[in-house]
Amino acid sequence: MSEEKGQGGLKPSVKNTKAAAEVRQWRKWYYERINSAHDHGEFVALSMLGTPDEIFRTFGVWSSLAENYGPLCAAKQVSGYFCGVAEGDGFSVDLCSYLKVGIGYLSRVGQEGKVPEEAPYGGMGQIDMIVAPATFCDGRYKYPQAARRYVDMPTFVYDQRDLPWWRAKDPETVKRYVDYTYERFKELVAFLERTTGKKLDEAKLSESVALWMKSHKLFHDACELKKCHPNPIPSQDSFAVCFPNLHFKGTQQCVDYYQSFYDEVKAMADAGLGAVPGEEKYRIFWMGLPPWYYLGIFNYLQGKGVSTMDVTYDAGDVPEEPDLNNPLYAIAKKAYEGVWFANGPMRRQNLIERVRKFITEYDIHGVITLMATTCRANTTLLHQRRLLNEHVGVPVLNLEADMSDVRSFSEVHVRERLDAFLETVDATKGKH
Amino acid sequence: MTARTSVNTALDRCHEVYQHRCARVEELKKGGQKIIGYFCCYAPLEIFTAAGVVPYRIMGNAKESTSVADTYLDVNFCPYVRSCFDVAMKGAYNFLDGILWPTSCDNLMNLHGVWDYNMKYPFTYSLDIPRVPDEPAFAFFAEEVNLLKKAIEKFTGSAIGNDRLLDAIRLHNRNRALLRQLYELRKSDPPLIAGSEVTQVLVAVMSLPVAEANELLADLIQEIESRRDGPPKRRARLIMVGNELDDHSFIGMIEDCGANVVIDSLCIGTRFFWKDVALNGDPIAAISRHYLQDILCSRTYRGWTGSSRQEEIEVRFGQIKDMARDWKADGAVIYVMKYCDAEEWDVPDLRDYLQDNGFPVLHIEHDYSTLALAPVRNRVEAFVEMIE
Repeated sequence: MSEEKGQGGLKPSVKNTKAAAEVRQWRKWYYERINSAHDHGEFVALSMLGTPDEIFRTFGVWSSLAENYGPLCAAKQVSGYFCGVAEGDGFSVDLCSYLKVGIGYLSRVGQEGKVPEEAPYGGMGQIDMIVAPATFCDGRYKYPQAARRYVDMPTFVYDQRDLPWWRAKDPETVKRYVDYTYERFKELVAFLERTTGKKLDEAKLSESVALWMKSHKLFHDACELKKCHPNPIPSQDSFAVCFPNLHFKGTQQCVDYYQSFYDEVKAMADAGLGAVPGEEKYRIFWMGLPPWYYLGIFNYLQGKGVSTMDVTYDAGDVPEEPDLNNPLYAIAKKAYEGVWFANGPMRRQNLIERVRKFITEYDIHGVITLMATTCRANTTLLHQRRLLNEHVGVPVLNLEADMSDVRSFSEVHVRERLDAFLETVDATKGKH
Repeated sequence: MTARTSVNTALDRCHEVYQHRCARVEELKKGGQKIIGYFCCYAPLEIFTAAGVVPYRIMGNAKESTSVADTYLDVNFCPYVRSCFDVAMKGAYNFLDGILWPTSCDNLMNLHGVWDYNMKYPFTYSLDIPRVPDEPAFAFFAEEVNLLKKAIEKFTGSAIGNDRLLDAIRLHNRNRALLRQLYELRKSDPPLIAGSEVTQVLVAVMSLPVAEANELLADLIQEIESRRDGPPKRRARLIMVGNELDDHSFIGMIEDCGANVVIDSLCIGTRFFWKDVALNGDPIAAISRHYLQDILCSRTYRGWTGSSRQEEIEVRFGQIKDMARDWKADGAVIYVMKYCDAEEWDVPDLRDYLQDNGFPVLHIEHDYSTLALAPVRNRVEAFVEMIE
């Protein structure tokens, strides 16, 4: 087990698996690389989750994500500082704290002419371009416009449509969405060709897609092991192990990482080893975003005999085998095949059905959600609680705090609510 | 509203519809007319009108607490759609035959699922609206509008031919032209019609079948042109920029603070009528292009590959600057509904742009409710004093 170093008063998380602990090294290497990309003849795109990294990779472009740097700054307890800088520039306190960290960081870089000392891991990289898909939430296509206040780089924002879950039943409609995305990806390729001066290497892209498929299956199979009793992948690990899938998609290193992760958790599952010492008293589903500044919350719960599990950044479904003769189309297609549970264009799917399935398959006793105050995509938790109460019957706790901005968080208050919730779970366990 | 000496004027009729905005459509409903509710400026009204269905804009109630909605919607939900949901849950929209849901923003998309679960209508349709107004998006959206047309045809049992579509476009273009004509009457100093009165007119227009609204507007314009009891000249002329203001109290409060609100870029404002649908070519394509391209809302990304930042800014905000100049505004009030991310993200750029172009700016982030405007009033008074 390994302890993540934090800089503030909140206790950092202790990981259960070697693979999750190892992510620190991946992160360190990644940020070193994007901060020295030009030395390696590479590029950095200020980007958003959901931009196809496989395409970036063929052009030697690294994506720098505020959705990753925000949580990282939260873990280092400096997200509130950067949010405050952005708010000082006129951005509302209600706007996404991930993105405001990015804006606050860029603002400080603009003021100082160098990476500010508060920025962990040497900053968000040597930015050459801004690329974002207009999908999933409003912030994703507004952030590039705001970022240009500070870094006026070549910008490409492309439209990618969310596919409502009820439409996903119609193959013709799905094809229309995939085709539309495919056309957008062609435009993205043209933009990258112009900006990097390189041509798309289709063979390299095919190889990247094939490698992605391998790592994806391994990641998926590992995540399935959360169903085991005891569960070997608590949420503090789950929220860490997604990192290689974010930034090293389509590489052999990524395949190796998820092979190693799978082997480790499979061995634990086979040996009956879980995160909770002794018996798992309660199995709790953490639905949605975590408080990144306090991943130690999962260790706190673990200390109460709680095994937490989540699917927020899991692999999601395994798509059909990609057609490697047309890798660009294959990437567009898999975006609509449920690859990621909580993200991507399939986000607004029939959530309750999936949660119900999850609760049954994973033998869940209760659900905790974080009502992430600055996440506008995440504003139906009261409704979801109502649905869970009506259709599933498990107790639900909605915690009110932000996902990245520590300023609205009260550890004592949250712990009191968790303790009270566990009493309810205890009283209802086995009754639904 | 400004005190009026006559009764039964067109302005009185607007006021009446504004006060009882469901009355006319409920009457029509009793006569067998189908009524479809819609949100947002992106709903292609021509399709409904061509189908013989009355489109009715769903609005909230800024004077009523959201006691029911608060138990269903998270605290960080847009207060405007929260109010719409609240009003609906209390039964105000029970007369609707259906609802059109444009995928305009996170708040509306998230509300859709909650609303559908709790209230059922014979017709519910989600219209997917691209974020980027370019050629592939126009084609995608044309197909979306075409699918909507088919869904309405199925619902009404009646086909919509191109001739009916063209007639509907003409009717709605007439509506837009009349509203622009009305806005011309705000150019004088003092303007011939107050901003708070205009809000009532706009709400009334969106609560009536378009042909009736056009008749009312024609009467109103004639009446306002010769009006002698218009608003007084005040200390400053302001442009309002922002989103949903369907209650006249907020703009009324600003006017009470000593300003004439003379022009706007608001959802309940110029955003839905500033440009016409083209009458040449395929009507579905023309409708799609209009709604995607011409509605100046922050939810649509405006910029293109290779554009400089200054060019992008000009595309996003140039029309607002032109309006402010043409209507001789002395300053701007940026009114943003809390939790409207698309608008919130724009605020620093918009503020800087307007200030750089010589327009002092007051930015108000608001929760829609007009129950307690006193704290905002203080800020507005100080702003008016500053710019007069």
